[in-house]
Amino acid sequence: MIGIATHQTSRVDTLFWLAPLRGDRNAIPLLLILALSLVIGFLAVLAFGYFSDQTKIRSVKDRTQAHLLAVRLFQDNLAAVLQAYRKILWYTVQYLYLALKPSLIMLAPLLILVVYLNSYFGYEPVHPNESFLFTAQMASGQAMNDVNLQLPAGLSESALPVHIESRKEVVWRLTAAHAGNYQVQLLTDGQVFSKKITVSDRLVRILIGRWREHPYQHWLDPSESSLPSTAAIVEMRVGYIPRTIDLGWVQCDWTVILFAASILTALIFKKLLGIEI
Amino acid sequence: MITRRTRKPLALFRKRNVGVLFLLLAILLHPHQAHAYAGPGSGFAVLSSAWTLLLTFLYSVYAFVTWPFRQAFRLARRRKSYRNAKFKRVVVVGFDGMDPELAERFMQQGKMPHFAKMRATGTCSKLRTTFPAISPVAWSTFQTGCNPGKHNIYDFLARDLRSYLPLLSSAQVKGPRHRLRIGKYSFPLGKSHVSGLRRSIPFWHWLGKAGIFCSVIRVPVTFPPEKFPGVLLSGMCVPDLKGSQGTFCFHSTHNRATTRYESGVRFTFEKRGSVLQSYIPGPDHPLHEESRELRVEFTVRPDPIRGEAEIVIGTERFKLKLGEYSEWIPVKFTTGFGMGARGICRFNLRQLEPEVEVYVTPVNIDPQSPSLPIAHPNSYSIYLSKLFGRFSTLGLAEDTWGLNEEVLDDASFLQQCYDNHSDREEMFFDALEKTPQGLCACVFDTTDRVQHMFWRYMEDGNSAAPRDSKSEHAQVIEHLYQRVDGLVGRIMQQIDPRTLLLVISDHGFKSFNRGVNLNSWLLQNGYLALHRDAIESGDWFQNVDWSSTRAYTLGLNGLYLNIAGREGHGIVKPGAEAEELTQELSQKLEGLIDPETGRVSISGVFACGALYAGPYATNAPDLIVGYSEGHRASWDAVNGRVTLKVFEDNPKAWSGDHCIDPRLVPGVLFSNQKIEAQGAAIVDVAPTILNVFGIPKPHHMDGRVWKVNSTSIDSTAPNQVI
Repeated sequence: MIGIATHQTSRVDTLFWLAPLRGDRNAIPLLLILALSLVIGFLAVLAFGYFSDQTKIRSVKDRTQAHLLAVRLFQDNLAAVLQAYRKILWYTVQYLYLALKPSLIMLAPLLILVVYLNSYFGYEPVHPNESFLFTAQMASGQAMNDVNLQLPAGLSESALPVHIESRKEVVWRLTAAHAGNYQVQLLTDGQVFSKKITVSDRLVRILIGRWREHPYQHWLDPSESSLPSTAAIVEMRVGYIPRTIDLGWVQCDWTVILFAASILTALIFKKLLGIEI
Repeated sequence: MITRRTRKPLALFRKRNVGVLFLLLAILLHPHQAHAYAGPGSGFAVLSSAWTLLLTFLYSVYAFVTWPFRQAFRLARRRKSYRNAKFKRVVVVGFDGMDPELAERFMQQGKMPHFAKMRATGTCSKLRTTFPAISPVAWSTFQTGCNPGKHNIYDFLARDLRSYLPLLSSAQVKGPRHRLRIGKYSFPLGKSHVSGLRRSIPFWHWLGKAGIFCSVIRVPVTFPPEKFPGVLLSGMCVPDLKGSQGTFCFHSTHNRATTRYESGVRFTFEKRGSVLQSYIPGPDHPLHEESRELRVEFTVRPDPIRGEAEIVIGTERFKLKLGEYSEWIPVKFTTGFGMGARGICRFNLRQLEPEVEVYVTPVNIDPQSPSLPIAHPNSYSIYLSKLFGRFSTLGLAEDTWGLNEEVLDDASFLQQCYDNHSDREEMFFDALEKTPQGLCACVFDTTDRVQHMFWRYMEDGNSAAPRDSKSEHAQVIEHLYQRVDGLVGRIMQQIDPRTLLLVISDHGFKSFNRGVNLNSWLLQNGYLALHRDAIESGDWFQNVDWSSTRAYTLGLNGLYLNIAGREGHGIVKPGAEAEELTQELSQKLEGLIDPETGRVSISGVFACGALYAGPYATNAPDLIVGYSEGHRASWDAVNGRVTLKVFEDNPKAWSGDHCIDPRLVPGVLFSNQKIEAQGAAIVDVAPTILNVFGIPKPHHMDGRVWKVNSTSIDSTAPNQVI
């Protein structure tokens, strides 16, 4: 039997202790995102307060607000109003400059975190008995014609593969009988390449593809290193469906919720902590 | 100076951070779906600036769309407003208490070149003050153009006719009418109401009605601010957060029996290891009907080796060097249930060894979040505060009692004065810039406070002996006048010939060596009686037998008859009996000799019936007592205290005064234009300014209109000597 790793999703791949709660596909990610936003918002405020020049930021914000008030107070005086507009723009630029340093400092860990979290929240895993697409992009037309897909037990092809000459791609439609992590293997030009496919009802970490020379590949999943630059396959991609969170009245990408909730949290904490943002 | 953590904004671009920057750029240059999320850091920046820009943009759109209509309306109105105006702008700079004799002396010595220039090319004259020569009275007359009988201000204090207790004459704060009692709490149903007691209409209201924009800053007796088309920041008579006219705190590790000062409170620090703890008292708890004050605790960690102390109050933490003032520190008095009051105060580290002593200014109303209205529109104080930082809002912002009670020394008091003065200058120049047409009026009261407290250094033999070496402060008043001259110079640089500049003062200044307690004199002469066995009274007429009292004095210059039907326990019949008593008192008091000095202590007594006319003349004292130079109502008399001594030395630092015979303390009038101002009086200013803008003098105004020459000035004209 070729390559099935496990039928059970590993503990590492499940997100925290909530993952075993199979419940609502929408509610659990939403709760997790909100909880993370709380932590991120709090830490971001602390970091912003620490890395920024609070006195200058307070001063610049005060002056901006003063000139906003000036626009209203001296509305009959065109020169004063125009001067106030000019000052507002100037102080806004100053504020952005002052906010640049803490923003840049926070950007690095936040980007890393978000990229990492995207592997959990960005896509839904394949569900048992649901068909999905598995795509392989080849380096050459020859490799495309020679490619052979080997499936582990539990995975089956539900249609014949489609060859798209123009993009040098081969697309298979597959179905999984059970939940678990499956390793499919592609044989071409005497080389063997594997790709993990995650089938689950839980919130699990998902890596949609395996690429040639991808800078984050190993970091995102140590078990799946980048394809070598000389590989006959450029990319292998599983057709996981992008996850959207249903808020009742609108469908949102998880990053939007994280952004909004962490900003809101930060606004609350900044008041409690007396930090100017 | 306050010690704060500061960082260089460009620290990120140091060498060691360049690598990190490149890494971040590298990440950014590899786009991925999730990278769209930039996180709260840049989110804050973007949101904050975007919000500002959005607001500005929206308001700009509104302003742009409506501008042609508004401008057309205003142009039509303004053309009408300024059609008969002789000048496009009038700038009134008030220097409270600037004395014409001192000004003349310093001009002659060449120390006030800008005033001398006005004297040479414009106008220089004495300005007759009001009866009595007290700031709230004179500035009320300035703004209304009326005698006190029409504006109802006769002193800082008025009296309650029933209880004979003092009341603030200018404003009154009333709590909510109804309260809801739940358990130990009593919730106010409605807001507290502040009402002004000054009557009549300030002249800027007339200007505003005519479409002329006005900026009015710190003119006394403008609290609470009244609505008018312009901006106004209230001045003298604005209370502190406790509702008083200024109550300082003094905290010390030295335990003394005294807990109260005049206008101040003393606290003993509680020691907790190396940290000292105390509190600042605030306003009364609004949810408790019994008087229970709110408090804000603070700690002090003294470091005698470094000569500094760290103070922590609320979320504020700062270090002070010995003798140093903090910035204005925001304090919040919370009551729970989301209620509270915000104030600001400054700390001064007075001493570190052997005892730790910290002075705290009265808690001013926070201009950024005012608990009581102190500006019109309300946002004007917020605007000023955001632009220039927090500033003192208390009416009598310079803590003269702190110096009188020797809690502050001369230098600290002077610093407080000049800090406030600098703030005021910034506000004034901003108002000047924002008022290219119309009226810009500002009153600086540092001149008054400094002269009150430093006159003792000007003359030998002053009873309030200098506390520091005389040479150190001998020239404080001269420097003050020079500073004021510099300010006028800067103003003159910023105005053109189409601006009329008026520099005025409400009164002059004289020495205050000897106090006269008229209540004691009235007791000794049988006009006032104490209850049996009492030799002296307490404060505010405690032990006074009103059923046998015919006259009493309260405040600085007023003498009242105890009129039947008017006062709560009046015995003097109105009409002939009162008239006779008035004449009798006038005759006896005028020329009253101080037996210790042999000098006349009262140079004039004026019957108010002849001084005032108007609907509020009945609230006036019956007599205004005009003390001669060197004398004034004693501190006891002002507080309604009857003692054994009629005359006594004034030992306080408050050694100069103006609450004397108003004929002896005229103010000043300077202008950059020629004004025919023979016998000019402060009451003339309002009708003259209205006239300058082509607005006829309202019938009720008592002042006369000066002839202001708006043609070019002949710089060769002879100087008019004061």
